Amino acid sequence: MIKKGKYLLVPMLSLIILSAAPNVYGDSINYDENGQKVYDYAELLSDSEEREITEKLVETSKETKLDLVVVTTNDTQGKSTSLYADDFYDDNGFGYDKKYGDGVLLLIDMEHREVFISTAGDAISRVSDSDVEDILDEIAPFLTNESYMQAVEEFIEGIDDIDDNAFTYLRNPIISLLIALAVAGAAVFIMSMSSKTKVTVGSTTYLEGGRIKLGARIDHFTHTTTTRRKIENDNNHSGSSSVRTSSSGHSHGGGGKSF
Amino acid sequence: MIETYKCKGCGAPIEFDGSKGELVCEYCGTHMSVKEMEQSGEKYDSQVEDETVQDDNNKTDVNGYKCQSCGAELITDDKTTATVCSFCGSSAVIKGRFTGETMPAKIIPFSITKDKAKDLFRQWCRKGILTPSMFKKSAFADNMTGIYVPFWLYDYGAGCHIDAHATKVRHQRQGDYEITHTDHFKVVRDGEADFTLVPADASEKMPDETMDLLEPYNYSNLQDFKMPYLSGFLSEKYSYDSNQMAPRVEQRVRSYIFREVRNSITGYSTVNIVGSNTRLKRKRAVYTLLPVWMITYRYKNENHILAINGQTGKQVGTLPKSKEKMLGWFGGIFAGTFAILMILGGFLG
Repeated sequence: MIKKGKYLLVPMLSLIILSAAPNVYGDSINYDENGQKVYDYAELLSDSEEREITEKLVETSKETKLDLVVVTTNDTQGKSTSLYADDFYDDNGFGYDKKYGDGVLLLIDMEHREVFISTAGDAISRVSDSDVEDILDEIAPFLTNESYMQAVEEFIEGIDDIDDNAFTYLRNPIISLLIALAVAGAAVFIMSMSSKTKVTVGSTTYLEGGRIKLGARIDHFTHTTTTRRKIENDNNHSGSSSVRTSSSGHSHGGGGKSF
Repeated sequence: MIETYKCKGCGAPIEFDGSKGELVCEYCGTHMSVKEMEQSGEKYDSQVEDETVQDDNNKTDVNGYKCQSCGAELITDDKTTATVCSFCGSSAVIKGRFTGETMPAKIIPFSITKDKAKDLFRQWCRKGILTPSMFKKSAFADNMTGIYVPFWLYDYGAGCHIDAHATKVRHQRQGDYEITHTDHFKVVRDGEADFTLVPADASEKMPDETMDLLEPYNYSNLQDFKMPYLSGFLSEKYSYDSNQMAPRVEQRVRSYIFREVRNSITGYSTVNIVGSNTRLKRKRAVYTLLPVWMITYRYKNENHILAINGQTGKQVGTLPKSKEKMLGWFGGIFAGTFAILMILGGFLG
């Protein structure tokens, strides 16, 4: 038992140290999880759908620390889709950390048949142009099919996935379990291999004079073969975000797509 | 005929001391060089005749020798050339087995004493993370024996001819195109070299892999063979003659010369060997005794051999692994890794 305890000491210590970590994070000050998150002016969603979406938005907001809002409209009051989206966000004072702060707004504009994602605060950089493009590409077909509920769900999922990194997979205990098994197996295998003796003689150990005498030495050029390959131009702007300014003077990112 | 080297001063059995390079009497401290002992040896050699017992059918019982010190029967097999009396501990060199072809030409004397070898072994055991605790006890090292193992050391003249197809690759950028030029070459190399004193153990009892791993020996201390070097150690004569061992060494020399000639093809992106042939010429084979400290033991019904090069101290063999320790480490590392991964996933995921 005493021995086992020794092996467990290191993981225990790291557990204690790491469990102190969450205190580092500050809590939100502006986000209201009971506030309205879905503004369905175009009446595209049923009441139960609205409730379900609100629940998911709040859950994902807490996880990503982004204020997530969904708006549908038949009338943009003469504004362009992008300006309507940006102004709607600012006029309602959304933002997870503060007013006009971190958040993402999805606008389904039935007047111009355009879907728009407006990002604000930290979300401008966290959700890059290519992320927005990816999400729009995913949801546009649903909108064309009038599957508004599915489109919104895709949007939430897309935002949820943005901050995913290698560590996200570790939340799955089975993956962590398999990695731990492999690490422990490899470590013990290396330990057991280290007791093997290495060969310390090579091809020069018994070589008289330490070198060979080369007689024939021919390097005869015969021919050349040539291949051409077109260089693919990588126009992937992954990671960058373009920025606009709303009527109230706040910065917004994101983009739209017709459906 | 048994030779038991006796101290000039007090008449006690005298043994070769590896650290001093001469024979030292452990009772009175008298020192004698190997050469001195060999020259004066006759005087102290007892005159008892070869105790080979012959029965009526004229069959030779080669195992029957009597200890010169206490008269007890020495237990040997037909390969033994030097042993230690199991009753009184006197060393016994069986002189009659060193005649003509069975007379070693060279010897590398022990330079690592038994105490030093035990120390090395203990350090070795302590390093093994998975070594069962019983091996870390000092008493375990006591059943270590010093053996002069018969080897053949071969000199070979070797040559190798290699035909190869080699390429050099150049890249060039032209607008939107990457152009790859591959220059093809026909390459020929022919090299020759002499390989000297390549060892092969000629004892049937010694595992070849273990003996190979004990290499290299330092040949600067290769001495002409003299029997007093054997005093205090075990030794045996070769089981295989130089012709029988040659194929094993030739395989090694072939790979050596090939590798050396192959390594002279440089400066190419790819080298593809089209054909090769090696030439070997054996120049000589030297019957040599090389020093090895050995421990044989049984652990969980398996025989293991641990060997230490009696000249350089290189250790060869696999220490046994404790299943319990392996499980302990596995469990500990597994639990630790799992906990850390879950924590990372929770906070950073």
